[in-house]
Amino acid sequence: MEYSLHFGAVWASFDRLLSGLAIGLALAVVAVAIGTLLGLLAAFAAVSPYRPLRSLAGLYVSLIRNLPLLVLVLLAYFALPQVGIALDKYQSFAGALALYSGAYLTEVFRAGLVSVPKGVIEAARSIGLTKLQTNVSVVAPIMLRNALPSLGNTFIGMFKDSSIAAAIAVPELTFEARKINVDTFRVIETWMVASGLYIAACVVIAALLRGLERRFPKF
Amino acid sequence: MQAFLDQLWIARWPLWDGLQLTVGISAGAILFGTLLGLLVGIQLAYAPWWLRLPFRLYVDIMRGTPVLVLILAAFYIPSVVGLSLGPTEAGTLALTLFAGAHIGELLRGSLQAIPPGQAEAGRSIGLTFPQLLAYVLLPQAARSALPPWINTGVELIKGSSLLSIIGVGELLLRTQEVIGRTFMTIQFYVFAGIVYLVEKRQPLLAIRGLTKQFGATEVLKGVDLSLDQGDVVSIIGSSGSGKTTLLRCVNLLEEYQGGDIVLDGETIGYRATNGRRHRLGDRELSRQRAMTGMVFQSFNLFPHLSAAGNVMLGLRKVLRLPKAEARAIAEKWLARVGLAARADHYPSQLSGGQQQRVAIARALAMNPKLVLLDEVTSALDPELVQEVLNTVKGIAEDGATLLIVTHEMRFARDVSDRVVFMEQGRIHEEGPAAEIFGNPKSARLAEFLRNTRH
Repeated sequence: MEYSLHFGAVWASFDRLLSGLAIGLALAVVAVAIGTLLGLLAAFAAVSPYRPLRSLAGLYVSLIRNLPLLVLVLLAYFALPQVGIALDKYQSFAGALALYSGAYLTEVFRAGLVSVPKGVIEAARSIGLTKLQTNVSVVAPIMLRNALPSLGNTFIGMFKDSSIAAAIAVPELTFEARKINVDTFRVIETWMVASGLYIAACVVIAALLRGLERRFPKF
Repeated sequence: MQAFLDQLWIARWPLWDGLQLTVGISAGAILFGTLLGLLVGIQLAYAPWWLRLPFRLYVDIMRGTPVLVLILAAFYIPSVVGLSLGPTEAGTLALTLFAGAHIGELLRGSLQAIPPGQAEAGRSIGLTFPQLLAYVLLPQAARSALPPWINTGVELIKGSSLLSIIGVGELLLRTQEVIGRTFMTIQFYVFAGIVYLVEKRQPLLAIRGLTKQFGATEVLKGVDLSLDQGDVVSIIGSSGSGKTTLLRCVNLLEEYQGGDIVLDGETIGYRATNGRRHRLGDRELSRQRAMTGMVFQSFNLFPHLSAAGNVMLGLRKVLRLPKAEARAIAEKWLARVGLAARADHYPSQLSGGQQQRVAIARALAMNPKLVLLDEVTSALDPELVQEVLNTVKGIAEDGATLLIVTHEMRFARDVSDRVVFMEQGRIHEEGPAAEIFGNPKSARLAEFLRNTRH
C-alpha cells in the first residue's frame, strides 16, 4: 500500500496543537498541585497514630486507585450536576485528575515518610520543636527528597493522563489532534506530530526533575 | 534604677535596723539553739529510754510544726498565762526552740555514727563521761555535723522573715513599710530577696521513684537520682539495665508510669489533677524538652540541613531568634566544637566524629539547663572516639551540667563527679568516680567492672 506523507495540512493547524498542549500542561499542573496537597494530607493521616485518620486515608487510596480515571472524569462532569454541583469541563477534569493523582501521591509520600529515620524525629523533638514544627521543618523536607524519583514518574503519568480530558471535549492536545485528523484525513501525520509533542513535553519534564534531584543530592 | 537607688538611700536606716535585728535574732537563736541542741543530742544518744522519751517528744513536735505556727504560739501562748513577751523575745524563743530540735537531732546522728571503739578506748584510759564527751566524742561529731549545722543557720535567717507577722521590726517588715511609702514594690522585694539569698540549694534535676514498664516488662523499678547545677554524672551498667531509658524519660521521649522528674523546680511530663496523672500537651512537652539537650548514639543530624542549619533550627523555630542572630550563635558553637570551617557542610559530607560534634553543638546552642548524652561514642569508628570525648570533656569544664550514659569506663572515670551503676532497672551503687572504680562495694559492680576491662 502506497502512502505518501504530507505534513502540510497538519502544519497549517500546528498552532491548535500547541494550544492544546498548553491546555493539557496547565490542567496537569493545577491537578498535580492540588493532588500534592491531598497526597501530603492523606500520607500524614496514613501514618498517624489515630485509627480513624488511618482508615480514612486507606479508604481514599483504595477507592480512587481502583477506579479508572475516565470513570472519575465522567462522574465529575456528568453525575455531579445531577446532585446540584455544576462544574465546567475544565473544573471537573482538573478536580477528577487532582483526586486521582492525590491517591497515587499518597502512596509515594507514605513510602517517603516511613523512610525518615525515627532518631531524626526524636532529635527534632529533643530541641523543643512541636509535632507540627517537626513535620514541617524536618520530616517533610526529608520525605520529599526521598520521594523525588517516584514523584517524577507520577508527574509524567499525570501529564499523559490529561489526554483523557478529550473525552469531555476539553480542547487539549488529543482533542485537537482528533479534530485535525477528521478535517484533513492525514491520520499518520497528525498522530505522529501529536505524539512528538507529548514525547517532547515529557522529556522536558523528566529533565527538569532530574535537575531537581541533582540540585538536592541524596543524603 | 536611679529612682530606686534614691529611695533606697532615703530608707537606708530603717532597712539597716531591720537587717541588724534579723541578724541579731538569728544569731541569738543559733547560739541558744546550739546549746539546747547539745543537751538534747547527748540525751538522745546516750540517756536511758525513760530520760530519752521527753527529749524525743520535744524533737518530734518541733520538727513537725511549721516555723510560723511556732512563732505565733510563742507570741500568744505566754500572754494567756500572764507572761508577757515582746515580739522580739517571743520570736527569738520560737526560733531557739526550732533550732534546738533540729541541731539536737543532727548531733544525735553524728554521735551515733562514731565507732563504739572510740568510747571504749576513752574509758580504758580512765576518762570520765563528761571528759569523754568533751575530748573524744563531741569533736568527732562536730566535724560531720558542721555542714548541716550551717544549713540550719541559713534556715533560721530565712525563718526570721516570718517574724514580721508578729510585728518584729526586722528586714521584711521594714521593707514592707518602705514599699507602703514608695510603691516601688518589685525593686524593694528584689532587694530584700537578695539580702535573704544565702544560697538556697535545690537540685537542678531530681528523679524520684521513677518506674516504667514496656508492656509486662519492668524497665525502671524505682529510680532516685539528683543532680546539682554543674554536676557531671555518668551512668554505667550492662545493656538492658535501663540507663538509656532513664535518659529518654528525662528528655520526655518516653512516657513513664510512676514517680516524678523535677527539673529546676518544675515537675515535667505530667500534671496531676484530682490525684490522676495526665501527660502534658504537645506544646508544654516541647517547652520542657527545650530545657534539656540530648545527644544521641546515632547522631540523628537533620540530613537536609547543613551543620549550621542543624544548629540554627531550634534557635529559629523554638527560641524564634532572627536569622542573623541564630547564625552567629551557630557559628560560635561550631567553633567551640572545632568545626568552624565545616559550617556549610551537609551531614553526609562529614565524618561520624564530626557529625557527633555538630550534634553536641546543636544541643548546647539551645542553652539547656541539663545536657543528656546517650552513648555518644558507641556508633563511632575507634579512631574517632577521642575527638568526641575531648569535646564532651571541654563542655564539662565549661561548667555544663551533664548526665552521661557511657560504656567508656576510662572516660566516665576522668570526666565524672559521680558515677551511678545501674542494674536491672535500679540504681545498684552510686558514688564518687574514684570510689566506684577503685573500691566497688557490691559484688555485682566489681564483676561488671572486671568484665568491661579489656
